[in-house]
Amino acid sequence: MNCKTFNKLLPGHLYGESSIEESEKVLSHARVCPDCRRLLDEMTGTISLLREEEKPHFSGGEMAALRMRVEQVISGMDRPPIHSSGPSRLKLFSRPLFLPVAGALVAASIIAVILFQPVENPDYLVSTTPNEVEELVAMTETVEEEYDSVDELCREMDELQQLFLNEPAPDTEAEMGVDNISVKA
Amino acid sequence: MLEGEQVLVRRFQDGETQVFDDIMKLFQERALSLAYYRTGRREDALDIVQDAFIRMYKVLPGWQPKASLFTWLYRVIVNLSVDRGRALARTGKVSLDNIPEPSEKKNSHNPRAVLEGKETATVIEEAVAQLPPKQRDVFILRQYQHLRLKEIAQIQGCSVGAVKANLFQALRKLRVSLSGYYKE
Repeated sequence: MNCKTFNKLLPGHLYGESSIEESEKVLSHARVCPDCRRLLDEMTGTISLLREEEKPHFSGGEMAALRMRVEQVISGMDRPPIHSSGPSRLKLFSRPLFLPVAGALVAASIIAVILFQPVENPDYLVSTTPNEVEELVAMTETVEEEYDSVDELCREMDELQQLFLNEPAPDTEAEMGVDNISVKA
Repeated sequence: MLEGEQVLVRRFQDGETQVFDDIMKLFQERALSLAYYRTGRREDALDIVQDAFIRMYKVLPGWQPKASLFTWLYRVIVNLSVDRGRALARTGKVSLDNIPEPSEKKNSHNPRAVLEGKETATVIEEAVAQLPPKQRDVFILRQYQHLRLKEIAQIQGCSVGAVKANLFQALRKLRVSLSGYYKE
């Protein structure tokens, strides 16, 4: 240890605030360095002298008079607003247990939603397989090719509807004569 | 035995305003000592601490218990001391009023000094008064208020290393000033 480090550690050593290792370093350096040894001795002597002369500068009477004067002044002032002893709403959020408990509840809610999600699809959802999608695309393309406008398609649909509604309900598909019905005008 | 600072503050905030006397008792010695070494005059020290206590009474209702009240008080006393010094300088009283008091009066509260006819206590006070403010505050808080270096660092808003450096410088200067008064 050099003299600079000795000077840094010295105040803590003199006031008993250094660790055992630091104090040992200070003392071992003082053994080999005459200047630091002298500084340590003189500083120790100075502090001893200061401690011997350590006396209060103000008597108990002076301090009591001071407090009395303060009491007189503050007695003429408004009473300070009294602090509410009950916990405020904001204090509830700053309590140490609030955040862990709230976090656990949120996590439990998320897990519950995931675990109890209905497995079967509801009725209103229509599942589509890849084949059905292809058929739908093909049908759309056919309609687009064969009809010039949506109005034309709608007219065709109305006519077909009229045809089915006016005829008696057939029992079989053959009786319906589906093959004979031509969509094309 | 006085209750701890936080308990007293809590009781005051809960409506027991009479505990303010106990709070003053808790800090009066430290506050007066600090103000005295800051101003060098007993009357000024008493006035400053009175003002500081009145301010403390006003801030206590909204005080956050985690903060150190003495840290706040320390800063108020330092500011009031500086203001008083400036006011004295403006009115031209500073040179007359800063003349050291007669040793008999100073020693009236120091039996040892009275017995010895003057001396050491007055010399120490003068030596301490000549220290630069930062070094003087650190020295007073450690030597007379027995605060730990870490607490002083918190009060002054600086590092423990800076406190140690200031304390070292203060002790070095005092060693020179008091070299004829301590035994080898």
